[in-house]
Amino acid sequence: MRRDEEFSEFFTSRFDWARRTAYALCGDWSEAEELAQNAFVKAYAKWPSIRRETAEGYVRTIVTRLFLDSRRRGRGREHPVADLPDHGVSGGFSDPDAKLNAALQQVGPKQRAALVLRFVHDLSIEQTAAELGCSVGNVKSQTARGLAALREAYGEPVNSESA
Amino acid sequence: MNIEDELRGALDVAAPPPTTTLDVVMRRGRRRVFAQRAGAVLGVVAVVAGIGFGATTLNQAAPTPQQADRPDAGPATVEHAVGWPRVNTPPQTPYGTYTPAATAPPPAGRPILSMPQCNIGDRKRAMKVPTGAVKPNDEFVQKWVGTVRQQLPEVRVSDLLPRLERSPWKESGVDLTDAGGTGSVWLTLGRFAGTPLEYADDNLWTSGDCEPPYRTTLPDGTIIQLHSVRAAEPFQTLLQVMEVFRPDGLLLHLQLANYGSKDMRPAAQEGYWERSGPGRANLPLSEEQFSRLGPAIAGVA
Repeated sequence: MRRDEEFSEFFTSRFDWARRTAYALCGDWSEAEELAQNAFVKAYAKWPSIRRETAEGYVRTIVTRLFLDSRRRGRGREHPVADLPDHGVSGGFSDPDAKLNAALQQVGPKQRAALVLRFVHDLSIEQTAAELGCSVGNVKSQTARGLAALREAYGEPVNSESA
Repeated sequence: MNIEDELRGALDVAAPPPTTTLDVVMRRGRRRVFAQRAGAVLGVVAVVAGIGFGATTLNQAAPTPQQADRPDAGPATVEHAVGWPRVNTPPQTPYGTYTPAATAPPPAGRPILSMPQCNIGDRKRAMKVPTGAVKPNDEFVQKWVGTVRQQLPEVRVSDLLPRLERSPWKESGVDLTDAGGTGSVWLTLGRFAGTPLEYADDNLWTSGDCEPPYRTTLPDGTIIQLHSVRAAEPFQTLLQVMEVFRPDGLLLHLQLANYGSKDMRPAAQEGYWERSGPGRANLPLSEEQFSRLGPAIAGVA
């Protein structure tokens, strides 16, 4: 079936990318796996109506929105896992990746999503606004606040480009 | 290197091997497609059957239609028991149906709920103090607990549940127990800098409702808004939110949950809870019971 062949190719090439995007957002590999899997399940169900050139953005949007959905107010106290999360994959705080990730987790979910889309995925402010479903002004403010919070959590001297 | 540059490399981290296979995704995807198609067919069949039934029983009272975004179990399904109208605005179009995550499904024997999911809207108005950041004093919290007990004599209300010291949410919770098990209700406070109506309108869709929420206005201008039940991870958690917008700018945010303190434990990340048990099959209060709390706590000083 053509649909399954195309989807299979897309899954093979982009699943790990989606999982890493989810990890940048949630900081937990088991939850990241779940977010990415759910995003691809939704993408499969909609596959006939998704254009191949926009599929990546479609999955990224679903991952981001599933993440924000899980962190929406009042549910942030819950960790959506059945067992204790598997920490320690990236080493301790001496590992720069682990330190950055730990600092990122101190930033609010919406601000974190804005930072990941703007800097990790290098999206424009307008593209980020479209993926988050909010205004350009909101993205600017979320990004600026997120960067400030990230610098504080990272504990390094302020050295900025722009929001 | 500045922090923006470091962020650009955030995807290039050491990662455990993925456990998801294409087979799993396609199997779940096909089930999802099948469920969507079956839902559409059943919907058409139900409409046709409903018209036929209605036509043949014109003189009989029609049964109350069941709302799609309500779990089909227990008191939470009691419809229109709240005497408040829904806000007069078009509903949201669902983007899909809730599917429990494979890693934390509901316990065996508990039916999977078919609940439509709608986008969680953004607030356009900033809160003066975000919800959960206002710390109520002890007297306020004790009055709240007393009010819950007074309004729900048919339910066993626990003492105030312990707080996690470093939690970023300043929330107060109590267990609610009846014959169906133990759930809980949680209170958080926020402050807004406008009229109750402006902020109630701004929060219409921030709980992910598909239908507009129920709303009532008290004589002093307080607006109370009751949102729909939502399913969430893990274990098919059920949640329902009620907001009380007072004219003095205080927002009281109540969240009803189908799990209690015995279903939670402190998470590895300090200041956070994680779920350890699935909770009860339904919410511990009917909409009518939950709605009693709104007007009652609006007057808590």
